[in-house]
Amino acid sequence: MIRFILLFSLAFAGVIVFFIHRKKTIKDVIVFVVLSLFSLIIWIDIMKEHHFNPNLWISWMFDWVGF
Amino acid sequence: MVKEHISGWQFYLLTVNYALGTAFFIRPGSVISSTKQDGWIIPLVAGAFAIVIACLWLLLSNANPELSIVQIALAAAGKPIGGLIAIVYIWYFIQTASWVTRNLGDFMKTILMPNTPISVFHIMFLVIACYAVIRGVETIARTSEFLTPFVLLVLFVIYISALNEWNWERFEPMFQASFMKLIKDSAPVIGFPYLETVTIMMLAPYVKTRLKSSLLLGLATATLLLSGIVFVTIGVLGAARSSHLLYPLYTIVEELRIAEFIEHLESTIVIVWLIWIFLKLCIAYYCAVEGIRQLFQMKERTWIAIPLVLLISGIAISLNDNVVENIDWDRKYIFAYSCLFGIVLPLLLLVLSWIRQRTRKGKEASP
Repeated sequence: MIRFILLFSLAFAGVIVFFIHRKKTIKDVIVFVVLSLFSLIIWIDIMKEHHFNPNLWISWMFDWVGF
Repeated sequence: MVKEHISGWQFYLLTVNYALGTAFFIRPGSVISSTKQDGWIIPLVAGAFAIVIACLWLLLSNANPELSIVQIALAAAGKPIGGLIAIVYIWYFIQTASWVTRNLGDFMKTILMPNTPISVFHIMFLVIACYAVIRGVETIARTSEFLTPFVLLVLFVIYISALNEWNWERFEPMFQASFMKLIKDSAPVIGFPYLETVTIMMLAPYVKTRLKSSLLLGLATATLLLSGIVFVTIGVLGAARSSHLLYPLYTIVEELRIAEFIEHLESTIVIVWLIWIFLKLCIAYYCAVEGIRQLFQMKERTWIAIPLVLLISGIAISLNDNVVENIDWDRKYIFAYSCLFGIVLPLLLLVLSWIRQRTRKGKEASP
């Protein structure tokens, strides 16, 4: 997991430097950062064997509503 | 960004490939397991229903020409509520792309390469799909136009070669399923792949001509091909055997022998399925990226598409623990879940679009 986080941080920092160098809009940077952080959270979750399972939530919601 | 265009023919092929992509291999087993030898009727019932629903999508597209679903949501429901609907749709596209990726991983891991980690297949495939998505819808449409004849040729050869094993007695007793059972068993098939095809309406603004006929004919062709493969599966393997198989088409091809010396043709069907999965994945992935781009009014796709490789591959692993869990979810929830995106939300957006148009006309008429 540490190797993954290190690799991710390096790639992430590289892209941010590229964004600053290319003078990308703040909107581009925010969307990229948010999507990347979502991905990081999901992968850390997988590596900690504590899966975020969207299907489980959806099925729980349908059962709760009574479909 | 340069405005992209695809022809009606390309949209037709994209619709067929999107509807059949994963369903062609996954659906026959579950359909035959629920309705036995009458299983071939199920895709026809589901397809007829889907064509009616597709008319609703076309009405929505007519009421908002040149707009995708995400843009329609923003235009019809305003920024706060429309934005929420758009996010829900974007989530659905990401989830569909993850499902497709997971189907690929499950197939490769259970059938072909059991020792390779599943995420290797996911990431390798997603990287290529990401490149296609960055290149744009025209590239995806041309790829589909280039690869579809090969896919159909291979399938045609398999259909014809499988006729050696054909036995009409496997369809007996025929028409045993009651009308109500047919309707009940059609529900999961309506959900996947038909209602899932609402995703393709994200591409509607790019279609230059014949949007309606391309969509409806695409769904009709997919229905006939799906019913055809269920029919062939029953005729060749029989209902009892195929209902226990996860990928009956793969088994048919595995056991195929042409002229006593051409055998083990399974690699050809693997290539066909990889092509179909690739096309379906590209479309779902592209729609997710375009949805995000349109929602946040961004210019470039590249920096949205790249982080989605990790996100989609992560969700693909998290979706379920094994194939059985996936089948169970499909049987219980897929219809209700797809109805939300294929019927409820488009209907809501259509009503909102009409109300908005009437209000605008009223304002223009008043002095």
